[in-house]
Amino acid sequence: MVDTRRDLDRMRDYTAGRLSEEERRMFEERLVRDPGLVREVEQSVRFQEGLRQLQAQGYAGKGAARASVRRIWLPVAAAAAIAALAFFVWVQPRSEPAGVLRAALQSGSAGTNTPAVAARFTFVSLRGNATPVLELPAGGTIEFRAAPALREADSAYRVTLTQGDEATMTPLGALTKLALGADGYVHCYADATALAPGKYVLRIASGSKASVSPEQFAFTLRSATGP
Amino acid sequence: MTAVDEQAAPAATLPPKSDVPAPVADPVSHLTSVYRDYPGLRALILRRVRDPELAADILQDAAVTTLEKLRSGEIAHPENVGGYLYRVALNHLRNHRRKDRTGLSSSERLGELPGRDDDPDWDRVGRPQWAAAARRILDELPALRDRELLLRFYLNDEDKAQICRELKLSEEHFNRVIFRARNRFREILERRGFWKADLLSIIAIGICLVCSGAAGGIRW
Repeated sequence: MVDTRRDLDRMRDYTAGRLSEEERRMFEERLVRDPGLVREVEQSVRFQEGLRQLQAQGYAGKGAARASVRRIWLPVAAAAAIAALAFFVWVQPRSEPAGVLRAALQSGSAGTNTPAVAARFTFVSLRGNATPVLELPAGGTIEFRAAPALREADSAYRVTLTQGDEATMTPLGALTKLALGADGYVHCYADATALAPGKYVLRIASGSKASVSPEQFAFTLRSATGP
Repeated sequence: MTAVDEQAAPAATLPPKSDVPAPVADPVSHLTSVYRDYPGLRALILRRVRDPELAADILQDAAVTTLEKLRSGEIAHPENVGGYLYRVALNHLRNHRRKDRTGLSSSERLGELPGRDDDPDWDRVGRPQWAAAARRILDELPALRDRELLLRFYLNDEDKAQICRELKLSEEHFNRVIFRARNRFREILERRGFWKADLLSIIAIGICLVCSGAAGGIRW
């Protein structure tokens, strides 16, 4: 028997892998006994995927916007639009390259036969505490690709790069208003010569969802020629 | 690849031997019908790993494990083998993630990067049909607030209590909207024949099952 009040969240958390070990075992015990619950889980996945495809097509986003706009009193909407424009103008410079990070490849490097980047590092949150050791190229551009905790096509993400461990953390760069790429990652770039062998942490946070903890990826860079 | 995953169905959870049902007469056809009815599971694994090849491997392992349990009569409720398939598949996914602790790849592993949302595999699981049904439901909703509710709950992954509070909805209203939408979603798919769709996949799976049944291997 499906409990409407409790199971909506449970099903969503189960398919997202968010239940604790004990909660998961209890849910799965029900799942193997209750065909109705399996159908509901299956239903949830299909519906969610259907909505995701709509969102990817731009439909769901427009729907949400329409729903919100209707509730806003016109003068308030006008004022908000002006405020948003002012905020955009004020914030825009911050989306420019900051520190060693850049939001895009420098002109001239892309679209040629020459490799655009010297190294690409992809960060995905997985179980385990191992800190990967990566080879720092002698020159050229490093591309960082990081998977945010929450992937939303309309979100703006903030990426920061710090050097050192917890005690000696030195900010090297920060970028805001980064968009999610078509591959589900947020991309940023750095000149290899601006980085030195050592410990680093790359953080990625959603600008629109403060409640979601930023992802943190620790890694170590080592010289391509040395130990 | 064919090892039985004990964690997926711990022996301690199995009923006493006397209560264990006899093995199903035709486990292969039984499992084939399960795949037909649960394309969402395939979509779920694909979403979580974002790699069609890896998703196929995980599902194949899950299918083999479930088939072995079906054949040996270890599954206490064969009529609900879909529940076991979900459990085993998500357990294989967790095992895969435990093994893969690298956290990132270097330039040498670019070929292994996760797939994109426009991979044809998404079409094969039936997502375009699900999207069409979802779109129809959203269009049919008379209250824009209800549309926002659905999007925030299923797309933005927001908390139910928070949505109710911000949209000034009662929990009863929230549940009613969700379940009406889900029922309508099922109704639309059933009417269009998408619920039991993907006949080509079923035929392909059936052929694979028959061909590899003796070896215990199933390729999705």
